[in-house]
Amino acid sequence: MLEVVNVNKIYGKKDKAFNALSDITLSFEKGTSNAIVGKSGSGKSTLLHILIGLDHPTNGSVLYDGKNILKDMNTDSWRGKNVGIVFQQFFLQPNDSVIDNVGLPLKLQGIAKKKRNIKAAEALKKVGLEDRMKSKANDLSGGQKQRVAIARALVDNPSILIADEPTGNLDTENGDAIENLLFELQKKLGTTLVIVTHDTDLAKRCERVIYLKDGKVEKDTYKGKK
Amino acid sequence: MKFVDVVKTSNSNLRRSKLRTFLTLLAISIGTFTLALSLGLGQGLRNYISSELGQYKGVNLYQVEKTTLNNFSGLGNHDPIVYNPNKSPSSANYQNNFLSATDIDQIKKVKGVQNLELPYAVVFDYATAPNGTKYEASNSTFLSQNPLNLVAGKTLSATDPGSVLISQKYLPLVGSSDISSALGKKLTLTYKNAKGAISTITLEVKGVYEPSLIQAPIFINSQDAEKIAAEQAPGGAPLFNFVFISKSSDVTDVQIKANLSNAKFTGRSFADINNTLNNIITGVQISLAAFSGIAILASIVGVINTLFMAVLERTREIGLFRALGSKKRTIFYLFSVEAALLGFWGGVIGIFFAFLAQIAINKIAANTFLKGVDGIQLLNIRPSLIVFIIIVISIITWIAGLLPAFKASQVDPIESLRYE
Repeated sequence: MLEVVNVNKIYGKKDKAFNALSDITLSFEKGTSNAIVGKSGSGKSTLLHILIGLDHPTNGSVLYDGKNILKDMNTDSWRGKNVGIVFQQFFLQPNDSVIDNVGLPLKLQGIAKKKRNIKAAEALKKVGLEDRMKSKANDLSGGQKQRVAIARALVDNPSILIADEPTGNLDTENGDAIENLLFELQKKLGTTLVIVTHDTDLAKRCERVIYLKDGKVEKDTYKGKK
Repeated sequence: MKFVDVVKTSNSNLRRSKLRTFLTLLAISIGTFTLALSLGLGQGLRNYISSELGQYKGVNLYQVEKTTLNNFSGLGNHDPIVYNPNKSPSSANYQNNFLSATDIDQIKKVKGVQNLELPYAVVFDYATAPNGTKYEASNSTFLSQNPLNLVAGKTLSATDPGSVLISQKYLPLVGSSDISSALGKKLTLTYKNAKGAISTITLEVKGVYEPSLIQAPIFINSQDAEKIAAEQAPGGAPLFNFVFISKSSDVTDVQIKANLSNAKFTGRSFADINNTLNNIITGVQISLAAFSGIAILASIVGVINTLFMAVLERTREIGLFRALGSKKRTIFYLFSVEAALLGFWGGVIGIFFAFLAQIAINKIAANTFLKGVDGIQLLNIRPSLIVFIIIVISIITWIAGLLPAFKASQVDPIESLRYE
């Protein structure tokens, strides 16, 4: 389980201090799908970065299975092994092959090429791109690129999948396909899915929707509950 | 990240900006090229001196001269020097540099001097071959300790009148085409005495030796040399700037030099001469390497610039790597190894062209200004030198890359993912 406990994030000092997040406490149960929704400047990206240990809260803590990810473990290693991230801009290595792109997180963990290629091939099969392994990332369409990014996020079977505006750069048809794929894989693999979006339709497909406003949780809703 | 993956990734990153990498490598390779050539030149000369003087290693032979030679005050462009009976005269006062009979006796009496030999300077006008061809006949007087690489016959004894040793290249002077048939042949040498009268001496070839740059092509025995030198000296007595001695076994090298110094003479072994030459070459080598160093220094600025540009260009990639779990030190390794690889490839390219230049320059030298000088390889870029240069250049560029690599490792992953 991933938790944020009494998290505050303040940018700037004294008169110029700005509260990006104010006393946020949330927990994300294993295998659930969650959406963090809010307007620009609501603090959703800051929360996302704190959730995965890329940013430090001013105070408060982030716990994974009860352990503080910033104090009790190596945050980078934890993120590499337990968190898969899908970005709006895909962030693929354009001149590298699809299989090399998918195997990148494993390469950063120091896994040998043979083993990472096997795992990358499995991940590509899950997103239906097993026939494009040798293609260059640059030669793919937008939808295919995001599939490759999903395969990269899932290549080491992470327990948490973070998607930051995953359909923001795609047309409706491709966006829908990516949404379907994300939820299908989340259910199949039992991954905790956290989507950051301002697309309410996409958010409503999640079991839980957290509405942020001015750095605070405005509303926290669960499907089937009021 | 595995080290092999760091190297492969850094290497492929170099290929991203081909033109920029090419220009940086060009700068490094120019520095490496000049460094390899200057060190190769020094090594070539050093090898040659060692091969020539190496035969003098352990030879009990010292050149002894007056200590006044150290007191050089210029030839004439100086103020008048007040005479000081306690100070040795200037070395420009040549007459004072000659050893008198008293000086020679004094040297003989220095403790530890076992044997003294006089290097008679005999001038022959020419040598006449059996077919009538006249050749120049530069020569030396044979010294008992003179180490020659004999290929046939025997060496000369201390006196051995009527005998001569010739270099393997001088066989035509006795009408021989092969070494063994030269032994016992007669060498006819013509000289003028002090009054200009022409005389001829015929000597029998007792041995043939390997030619070398520092050994005369003809060695005559000291007894005949003494006789001819006396005939050629205007006053009837040959003059010497220096003499050769050998030391007795009961004194060390340091002691014999100290004893000679106390008697106001300077003694130098052939090993000292070798060292002096090597020191001169080392000085020249350092000077040349310093110029190469400037070229390398300029290329280092290029390396730093290239890497700072790469950090800027790959900011988003750094952010991605960090987001995917990469540690700061992995980013640092990627960029610092990239810097080292720039040095490595620049070094390889520079060495490759230096090697080609070496082949060409050695060939040209052997056919022009070093024609007839056997055994000399003007440039000698040894494999150990190649490895040394490549390692040193890689380390230098790696150090140059530390600052950009550190900067890359400190990039804020959140900011870098937003970077356009």
